[in-house]
This record gives sequence, C-alpha cells and structure tokens, in this order.
Amino acid sequence: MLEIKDLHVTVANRAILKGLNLQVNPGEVHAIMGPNGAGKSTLGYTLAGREGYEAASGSVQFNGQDLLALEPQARAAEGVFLAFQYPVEIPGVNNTYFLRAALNAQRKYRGEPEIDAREFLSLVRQKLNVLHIKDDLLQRAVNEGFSGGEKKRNEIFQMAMLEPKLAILDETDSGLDIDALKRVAEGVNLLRTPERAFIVITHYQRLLDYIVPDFVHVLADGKIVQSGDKDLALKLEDEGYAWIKQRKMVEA
Amino acid sequence: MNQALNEAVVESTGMAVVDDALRRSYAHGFSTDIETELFAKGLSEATVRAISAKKNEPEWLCEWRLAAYRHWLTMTPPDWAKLRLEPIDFQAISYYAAPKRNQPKSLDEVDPKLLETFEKLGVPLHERARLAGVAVDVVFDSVSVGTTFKKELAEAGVVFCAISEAVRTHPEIIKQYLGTVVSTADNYFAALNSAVFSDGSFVFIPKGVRCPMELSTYFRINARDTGQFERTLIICEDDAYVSYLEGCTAPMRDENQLHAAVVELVTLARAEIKYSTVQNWYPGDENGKGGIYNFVTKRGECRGERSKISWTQVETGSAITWKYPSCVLIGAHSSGEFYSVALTHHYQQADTGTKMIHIGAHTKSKIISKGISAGRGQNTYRGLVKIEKSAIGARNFTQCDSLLIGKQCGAHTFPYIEVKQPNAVLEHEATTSKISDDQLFYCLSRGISEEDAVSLIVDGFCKQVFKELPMEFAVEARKLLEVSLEGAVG
Amino acid sequence: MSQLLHALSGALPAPLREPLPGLPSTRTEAWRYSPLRALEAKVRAWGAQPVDAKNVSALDRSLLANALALAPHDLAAANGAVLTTTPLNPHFAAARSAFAQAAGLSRGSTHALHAPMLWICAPQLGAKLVQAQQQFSVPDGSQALLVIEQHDGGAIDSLTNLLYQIDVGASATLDVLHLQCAGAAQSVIERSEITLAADATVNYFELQCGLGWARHELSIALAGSGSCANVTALSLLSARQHADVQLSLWHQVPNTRSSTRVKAIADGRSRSVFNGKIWVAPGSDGTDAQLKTNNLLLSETAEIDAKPELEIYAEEVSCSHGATVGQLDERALFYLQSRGIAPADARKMLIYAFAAELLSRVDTVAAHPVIKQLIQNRLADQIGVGDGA
Repeated sequence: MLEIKDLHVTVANRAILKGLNLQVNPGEVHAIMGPNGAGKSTLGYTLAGREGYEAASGSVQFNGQDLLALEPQARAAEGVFLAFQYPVEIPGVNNTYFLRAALNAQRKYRGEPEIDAREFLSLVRQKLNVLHIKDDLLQRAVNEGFSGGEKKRNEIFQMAMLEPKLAILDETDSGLDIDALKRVAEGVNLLRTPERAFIVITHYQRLLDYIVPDFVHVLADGKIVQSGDKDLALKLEDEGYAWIKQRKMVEA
Repeated sequence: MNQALNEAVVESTGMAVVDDALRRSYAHGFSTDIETELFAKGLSEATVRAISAKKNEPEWLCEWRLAAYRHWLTMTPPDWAKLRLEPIDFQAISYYAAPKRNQPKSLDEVDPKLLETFEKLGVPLHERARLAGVAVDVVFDSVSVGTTFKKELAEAGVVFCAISEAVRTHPEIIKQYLGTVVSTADNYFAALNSAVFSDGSFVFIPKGVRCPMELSTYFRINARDTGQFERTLIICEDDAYVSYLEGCTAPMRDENQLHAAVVELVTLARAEIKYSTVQNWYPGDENGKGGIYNFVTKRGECRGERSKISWTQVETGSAITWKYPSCVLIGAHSSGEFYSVALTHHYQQADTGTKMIHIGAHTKSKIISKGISAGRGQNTYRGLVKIEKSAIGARNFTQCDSLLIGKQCGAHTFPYIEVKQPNAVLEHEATTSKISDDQLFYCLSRGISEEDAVSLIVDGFCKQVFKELPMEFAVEARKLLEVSLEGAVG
Repeated sequence: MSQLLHALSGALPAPLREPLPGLPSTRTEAWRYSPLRALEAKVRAWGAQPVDAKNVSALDRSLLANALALAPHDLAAANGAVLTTTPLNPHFAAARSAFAQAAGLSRGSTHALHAPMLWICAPQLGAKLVQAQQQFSVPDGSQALLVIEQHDGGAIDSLTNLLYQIDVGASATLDVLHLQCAGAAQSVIERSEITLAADATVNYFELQCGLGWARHELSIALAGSGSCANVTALSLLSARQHADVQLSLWHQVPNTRSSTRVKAIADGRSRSVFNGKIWVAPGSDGTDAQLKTNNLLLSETAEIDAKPELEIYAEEVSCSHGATVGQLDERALFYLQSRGIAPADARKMLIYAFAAELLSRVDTVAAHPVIKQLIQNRLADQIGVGDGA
C-alpha cells in the first residue's frame, strides 16, 4: 500500500529525514517511536503534503501512485488521513459543515455522487454512536475552544467519517490524561479493518498498550534505526532512547 | 436525533446551497431598456425646484431643499484621506430619472418591463411570489415603483411607503423628523442629498407596535449619467420594533456613477430598529474601470430610554464606499450595535466604520467589523467611540479584524477613542493578518480544494456578522462574498 | 505670522527671516486633540523680549546620574546641529531650523554613542525658551544607553522645542530612558526620529510626569531587516496637564518587529492623548507588530483620547492593537479590602501596580528604583487622591 524509499526531507534548510524506508501493507498497524526532534512529525506532514516539507530525494508510492506528486487535497481523496498533533481551530466554520464539505470534495474527486443531507445525517449518527461522541461537538466551530481531548476525539471522528485507507496519527496521545487516551484508542481500534492501515506516531509506549501495533519502528536522526514487534516498544520503555544512541555509536 | 444536531445539519445544507451557486461575475450588470424621463444634466436652484415640483412637494420642503443647496455651495468636498478618486463633476449628472409609464395605482399596473427587471434581480413584486413575511418597496432610479403588503401593514398601523408619498400623506411626521438626525449641513454629501433627494423609503411604527413582517427596500440604478440620492426615514415610537433590510444593484457601466444617500433612524422609549444592508452596487471591472461611488450618511438616534439601534452591513459592491452608520445614544440605557463585513477586490476601495456617541447614562455599544482585502483592494475601518461626561456607566466593546488575501491589497484601521467619563469602560481590539497557513493546510488535508477552503475560512471569519442577518439575507450575503472573491486565490 | 512661531524663530537676523507656515489647528488631523491656542497665548504674553538661544544649560541635578554612574553632558548648547525639515510636522521643524541658523549652529556634528550618555534639557532659571537639536549615532554592533531628562525650570513659563535623530547601526542595541519631569509651568514640543539598521534594536522608555503641556512625536523607522522596536510609555497626569504622545512605527522592510505598551493615568482636569500608528510597507512580509494602550480615567474633568492605527500594505503580517479605557478592577479593590486594606490605600496600591507593571520592560535595572520613586511621588502628590471614580 505505502512504500517509502530512501526519503530525504529538508525543512527550512535543515535536513530532517535522511534516508527513511518504510513499507506498510493493508490492515497493518505500524508504530513509529523516537526521541524529540527525530523527524516523527515531519514524516506525517510530508506524507500529507504540507508546504515547506518537500522531499529532496527518495520516493513514496501509495497504491501504485507517486504520492509526492499529488496536492494535499488529492492525497486526502486518495485515502491518506493525517490526525494532527495540534488540530487547527477554524473560527466560525461549523464542524458539521466542514466535514460534509470535505466528504463531498473527496467523493467528487473519486467520481462518486455527493452525499445528500439525509444520508450524511444518518452517517453522522451512526459514527457518533459507534465512537460514543456527544453530538454537541458538531454544532461548534471546527476545534474552536475545544479541550485537548475533544480536539483529538474530533480528529478520530473525522477519520471515521472520511474512511481513509491509510491513517497517520501524529502524537494523538500527547496532552491526554489516561481516560481520554483510552477513549481515543478505543475509537481507533473500532476503525481497524483488514483493508485500513495505520501509522501511529508516538513518543511514549503508553498508547501502544491500547492500540497494539503489528510493527514498531524506532526513528532517530531522520532514519529508522530499529524495527521489531510490540516488544521493541516495551524495551524502549525500559531502557529509554539512550539505548538506541549507544547502539548506533557501537555500530559506527 | 436531537435538535442541536438537526440545526447543525440544516445550517450545513444552507451553506451547500451557497456552494452550488453559479461561478459568475457581477450578475446584476444588465440594464433595462425602458422609456425614461430624464432631467437635463446639471445642478442649480432651478434643478432643485424642478425635482420638488415633480414630486408635488409643499412649499416648506422646497425651501428646505433650497437652503440645503445654498449651504452645499459654500462647502468643499471632504479630504479623502485614504481614497483615490476622480473629481466628481456635479454638472455632468442628471438629478432625476424616472420610468415614463410609472404612475401605477397598484402593483398590477406597474410596467411589465419593470416587473421583469426586478424578477430578474430576484425581487419579484407579486405578493404571492414573495416569501411570506417580507414587504418590499422598490426604488428604480429616482422613484419608488411600488410597495408590497401595504394593506396588511396598514392594518397593523405600520406606515411603509415611498418618502415622496409620505410627504403628502404624513406631512406632520415628515416635518417633525426629517433632517433632525442628519442635518442638511452635516457633511458635503448629506447637504447635496438634502437638496436633490429623489426617493427612498419611509417607515413609521406607532407606539407599541411590533411590525408583523420584515420590511425591505430594493434600490436599483438603471439610467446612464444619473446619480441616486435616496432618503430613508424610519421612526419607531415607544415600544415599537422593526427589522428593515436594504439591497441594491446597478448595471455595469464604464463611467462612475454617484450614489449619495441619507438614512435617518429614530427610536423612542424602548423601541428597536434593526437595519440590515447588503450592498452590491456595481464595483467596476477588474481593472478598476467604472463602478458606483457610494457616499452615504447613515445615522440613528436612540432618543428614548432603553431603546436600541442595530446596524448590520455586508458591503461587497461599489468602486468606492464611504459610509459610517452611526448611533447617537441619548436615552439612558440605550444601546447601539454595528456589525460589518466589507470586502474589497480588484481596485475597490472601502472606507467604512461607525460612530458611537454615548450621551445617556448606562448606554452600551458594540462594534464588530470584519474587513477582507483582496487583489488591489484597499479596506479601511474608521470609527469613533465617544463617551461624553454625562454617560455614566457607559460601556463599549469594539473588535476590528482584517484579513489580507494577496500581496497588493491594503488593510487599515483607524479607531478614534474619546472618553470623558471615568465610570465608562471601553475595550478595543484589532488584528490584521492573512489567512492562516495552518487553517488552509488543515482544510486541504481533509480533501477540500484551495478555493473552497478560502471561502470556508472567510465565511467563518464573517460568522459573527452573518448571524445578525435575517436568514434569507445571510445566504445572499455568503453567496455574494464567494462571488466577489472569485479569482482572489492562487 | 503666529506669535509662537515668531518667538521660536526670534533669534533670526531680520534679512533671513522668511514667512513660516501657520500653526496647525485642531482641524489638522495630527493636532486634533492638542490645541495650541493656550501655548501661543502664553508665548504672546512674553512680549517682544529677545530670546537668548544659547541660554541652555546642563544642570547638575540629574535623577539618574548617580544610579547609572553617568556624567551630564550639555549637548544642546555645544553641538546643536541643523536638521533637514521633517515631513510630518513642518511647522516646528521650520522654526527649529531657523533657530539653528540664527544661533550659528552647523550641520553634521553627530554624537556617536559609545558610552552611556546623559542629556539634560532644562531651562536655566529665568529662561523662556530652550531649543535643542541633536543627531546621535550608535555604531554597528554596539550597545548604547541614552538618558534624556527634562527638569523643572521653576515657576517661570518656558517652552522647550526639541528635536533629535538617532541612527542605530547594524546589530546595535540602544536603550533610551526618557524622563519628562519638568514643572507645570513648562511646555515641551519634542520630536524624535530613530532609524534602525539591520538587526538593530531600540528599547525606548518614556515617563511623562510633570510637564504642563507636552507633545512628543516619536517616529521609529524599522529600515533594516531583523530590526526591532520596543516602546514603553507611561503618562501620569493631574491638574491641567496635557500630554500628547504621537508614535509612529514604520515597518519599511521585511522581517521587522515592534512591541508597544502605552499607559496613561488621567486625574484632575488633565488630558492624555495617544496616537499609535503601525505602518507596514508593501512587500514587508514577516512583520510582527503589536501595540497596546491601557488607560485609567480617574476624574470627571479629565479626558483620554486614543487613536491606535494600523496601516498595512503587505500580506504576510501579524499586526494587532488593543485599547482600553476604564477604572480600577472592582474585584481587585474588594479583594484587597477583604484583606483589611482601607479603600483609599487599596486604590493607591492598584494604581501604582497599574503603572509600575511597565517597568518589567525596562532592561536597565539600575534605573528601576529611581523610576519607581518618581511614580510613587507622583501618585502620592496628586493622582488618585480624590474620590475620582
């Protein structure tokens, strides 16, 4: 589904990703862990197509397409979803309207008919029930005045509505207390299907207790330096990122 | 499903209607080929007398006009601090233009061509065609063409008619109020208007009456080389209420046309006037050629205690807009509000804002201004909040935000604050920025196109103002904004 | 010709005398809130007395000299330089220029600020008119401190007409501490023009506290990329004082920053006027300009006039201004009272806190005790003593 080869990304004249390789297949959950400044968020922004995060070299194939050649809105329509670490507030824009505009834009791109108000309403209702989200979130402006937990749950709700093929969760656990974390993780687990893949970017192992990954990768200094299964996350938890650094030095 | 979610969905459906609106440029730019009685160009005492005679006015009003004219001669045009404009040749304008066949006794007798024109503008005059609850007066060049729902309104005691008609039918009220809020000497264009005003609406809501429907006037400039000088007077007696809407359009022409209106509002004790404008005069083309000069004096006086005047405006048209709908808060506990969205694109210039003059004790005012500049547009908020010594406990809140779209536009904010009462509390905030990259990327990452994302964000930026508009107008306003912004991005 | 301008250019020999433009009236936008009638009447009352242009002296009673270990310099008399006419206020510039010619002052003696500099502008007892012009420069990469003090010239009416220009070199930092502590009989018309080169910073602090009538035009040009202006002004007014601060920040190139905090407390029959303009040139992307003015109006006969302005011709900017006029926070007053503090003391405490809060923006810590003392004295003497609000 997703194949990243030797990806180099420079942000504001600083090399952040320095030859990253990653392959993700449908239905898999990949956790990307690493110390601050390793390039975790850069990976998310690069895949979603943020301006200023352009690849200097390397390639990203998504379902046989050159992902990097697409505009951000086209990537979304192709099925890439980024749950932001800091969801953006858009004052005055109704959350429901925003979602419907997004959904219809994506359907239009894919040559599907637009969804009418009735269908949309029933879809909203269905997803709300599944995720146990209160509907008062919907009449408010996009993320405006939301608490940290509300913002993250709104991201998950958007993901549920937009039904992406690949979801990238950028530090979705940051700033959440344990109850909020559990609720968000529960939402993600409900959206796991054999077709949908996830990249879960996190600094702490804690989230992976609730979203159990198939693979864990350690990102340090712009590269994946170690890959393994979920036990790798536990090892990191015990020994910290210093262990990775030491290992790298030995290798060098 | 609970109510709240339903509302949210209804709102999103309304917005989708906007989305579906045709991508088009100025849609009201056609002109109507109709036989018109047109005064020769030029302005003199004789012109003033001729207008007055044409309207069968009493002697006192003719004298009033002449006094204004004589005063106007002594005045100099204002010094346009931030505006670029061609000097106006007041002798090159015809001061009266009226469709020849317009002496209808009722709407059924109105020239079909006129009915067709307004139908095309989306203002059908047949009552059965109107959405329930809105009465309309339409002004075509210098005359009122007709007013709907007159009978129903009369039953409620409401007077809603052309001001030229009111001069004949309600002379005592006109005499009592005309020119008492905006004097004939107030400013250059108010003096000119007082001398040559043609038509406009008159609204009188007697004591204790809540006007049973929204009142609306639609202004249309059609004839070439004319100006429109409408005059509107709205009076709400004790405990009365009215919501009044105003819309306007003009054909696309290469030369600039002058629109110099005066609007006066008076509220007595506990009365309320809600005045909404969607201004869509022809803005000129994308090279700045043509367009209306919109120089308007709008002012309301809250004369009675606990009375209220609320101005809401969406200004997307005109080559140049110069207007400051204001409130003079005289009655104790009276309040004034000003909600404004002003958009300038291409070479449009807008200099707009409000004056809130606090005189009475515990008077309150609120100003929300949203300016959007695109292309080479220049957008200025200019406002005054004055708190006199007598205004014990007065309170003002002002928020002025400007949004920049493009490298060649300008956004300016000039608030004047004058406080003489130590018990008053005043807060003013203003920001200027471009559309945030974060917001834009967030929308894009959800699959929304750049153009739609910009109009979505702009719409959200204007939300505080749109929510003050009656529903129908709000949809119209959003649509206008979207059309006006066309081509501003990318 | 206006008597005031006549007096200001009075030292001119007759043949050189040229007509000067008339005084601005309140119809002139920049003088809307500062009528000059009273000032002109005062000058007229001086009559035809010859004005001694050199009657300017350094007084050895500086407020900050000890605290900052500075020696006073009398720049006005020694180095007054002719400056080009200023675009914004031609009236007084012409007068200053005429004066400088008459006094035989030559152009070009720019004072380089290598060491901290103390500049005292005060009339000698008996002098009616002080006119001073000066150019300063801060060399590239250096750190400079300029202290400007205006002192009480006694009970005799006087007028100071002051103009200075400062060029701050690349990567240099200039701190200005400006204390206007002249007496109620004194009037000041002052114009300062500061130009910042690339990565230069100016931290300008001004305290207005004793003058009868004061007008200060402070114009800062952010002419170099990366330059930064921090302006802090505090006016403590009572009796019939009139203080008018006209600040303009010209963001001429991309990537410049300004931060402005202005506060005024007006009691008695005083009037505080503030005009703060942020101007951003076309193409000056990356401008960050924030301005705030907060005012306390303590008397029914005082007045606050504020006009913050934004004039923006670039797109990628973040600019804002905020203005408030009000009284002391009732809840804070009550809180203090609930802790046993008498209402009058609570008021004073809060008024002082309102004013002294600005000191956090003054980096020259050694000056803090002196400034605090000035604020305290001022508040103890006249401000907020009555039952005001």
